[in-house]
Amino acid sequence: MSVLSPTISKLYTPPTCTLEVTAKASPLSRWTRTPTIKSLQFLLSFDSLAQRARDSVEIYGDETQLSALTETVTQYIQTVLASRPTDLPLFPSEQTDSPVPSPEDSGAVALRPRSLLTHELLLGNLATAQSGPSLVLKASQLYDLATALEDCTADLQQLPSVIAAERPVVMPFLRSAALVLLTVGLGTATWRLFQTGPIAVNTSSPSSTTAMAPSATPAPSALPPVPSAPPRALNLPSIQLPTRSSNPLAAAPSAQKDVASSERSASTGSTAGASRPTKNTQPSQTVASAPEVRGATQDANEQQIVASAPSSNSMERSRALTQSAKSAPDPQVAARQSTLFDTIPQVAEVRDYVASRWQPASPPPKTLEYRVTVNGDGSLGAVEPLGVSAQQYLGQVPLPQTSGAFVSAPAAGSRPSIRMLLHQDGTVQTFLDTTGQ
Amino acid sequence: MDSSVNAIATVHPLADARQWGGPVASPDGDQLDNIKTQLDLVLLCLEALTGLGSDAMLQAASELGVQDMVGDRVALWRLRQSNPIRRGTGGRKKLDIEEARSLVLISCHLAQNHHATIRRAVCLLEDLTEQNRPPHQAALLGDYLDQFTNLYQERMEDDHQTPATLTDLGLKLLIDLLFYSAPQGVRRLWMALLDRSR
Repeated sequence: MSVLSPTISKLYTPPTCTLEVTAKASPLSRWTRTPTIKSLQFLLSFDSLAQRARDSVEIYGDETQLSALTETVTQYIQTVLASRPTDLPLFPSEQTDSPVPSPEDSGAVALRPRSLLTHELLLGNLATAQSGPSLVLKASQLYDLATALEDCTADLQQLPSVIAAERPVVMPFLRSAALVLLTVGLGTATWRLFQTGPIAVNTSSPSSTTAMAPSATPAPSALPPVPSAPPRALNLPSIQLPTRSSNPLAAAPSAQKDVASSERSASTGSTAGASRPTKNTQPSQTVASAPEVRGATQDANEQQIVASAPSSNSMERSRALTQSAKSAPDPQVAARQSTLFDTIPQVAEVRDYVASRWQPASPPPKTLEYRVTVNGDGSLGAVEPLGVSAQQYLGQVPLPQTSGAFVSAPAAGSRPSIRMLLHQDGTVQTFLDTTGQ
Repeated sequence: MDSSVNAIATVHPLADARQWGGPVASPDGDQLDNIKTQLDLVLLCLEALTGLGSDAMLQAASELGVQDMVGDRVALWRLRQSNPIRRGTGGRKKLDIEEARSLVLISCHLAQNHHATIRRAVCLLEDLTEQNRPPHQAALLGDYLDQFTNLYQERMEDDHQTPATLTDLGLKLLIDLLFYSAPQGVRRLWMALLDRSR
């Protein structure tokens, strides 16, 4: 890949320590509003520690270790705050400087109090020859450490995987297209959980249906009730099918199982989250969430994303839900089922258009991603390949000539930008990037 | 409540779940009693260290948009008088969750405003302790502890406390106040109140 990966670096400098976080900007950053990062590393320097008056002690690690350290410090501070005045002495008692962690904890970071004002940070797998197995921090140093870690966490949560959404914006993906597939698949699988009885589209892959069903416990109030009216054929897109028919949209059963197993592993009692955000909504099922950026608590920012992304065209989505619920178990119709991401009709129409024509001479090496802009009259405005592979396959993507007939005209004054994924198995996924208003 | 939490741009400070560490647990009666005491003591600590009074607290309430809970001196006095160990029988003894959260917001707001003083006091305490010297030897700490002890004995009906135990209490509150003065202070204080009240 010829795209450069510049390094992003941020310093957090409270009075007694310095936290430096570096990461590489993902090539996708070129098409996102804020940097998309990977390979995060941190360097933490402690100044003027009690036992090392003039030396600064440094520890370093990766994103996982940073997250573990942050969580440990946060929880420990809460424990200290909950303690009583008599729990700890003002002056530390005499004790050795080198505690011996238990073997099973040898890799884990931990904190323990020595007195009201001093705390021992057991470094675990962060320990170096310079640092030794533990450091003694004063209360003010602990405060500074927590401040740096929490500021860093807050900044990481602002990266493009979590976007404050005044409008339904598709989140750029932090890692590879495989992660994109997983995220979108989770949302689709969750949506499919609420397809029941004769209305259900996924009928010919019992394993995937069974796999998905037990993995979520939807809140009854989270979705409109599935109507029991006789099904009727509707011209709706679908992004998944259990069987491969003449419809190139049909997904392989293995893909379905992958989605189902991913959904099982990632979702714990999630609701559809589409029509109504709740505090139990799993962020991973929304397009807007960052799978690897997790706050310790529910982040209202994420909740707003859940609220805003699906609800911006709630009537349209409700219509789509109702329509899809009424569709006959006709493979042709089943192949074109609406998804949670069809926030405007053009999203589904682009998908329909491409999916019915997408027949690459050879399967692409990875999922291809494009940004498709629709003109105000519904014609194709522009196609932007995202990534080298997408560029290479651009000629094979079945799109009309610019200004040729493509989809229906979008809302007046808008030129929506639609993100399109062409998967190696031939399936096509689309979601709204921007409304372009 | 969910819709108000999600509308970040217009959320009431009491409704912003991010500040409180997630969905707010509602303490029961006994827990609430303990919370009232703890809240009153945090404000007492601020008063003793910084000399701020009810004006500053009311100003903070106004800045935070919780003046409907703490609108004037009488309202503030009543809320603090809900502390079960306070002297006097004239004040009301009730404090509901929203009022408690208002006091949390006010306390942390004031702590943030006086972060420099709080940090200086804690650093002085750390230095003296390292040298095995008593905290009263630093003027800031000595004045703080004297004032804290006086206010406590004046306001609280608690004969179990000695000067030594009040010193311990005052120092613990001072150190806690440092952590409450951080941007995450509201969440920390609220969670600490809930944890200590169990």
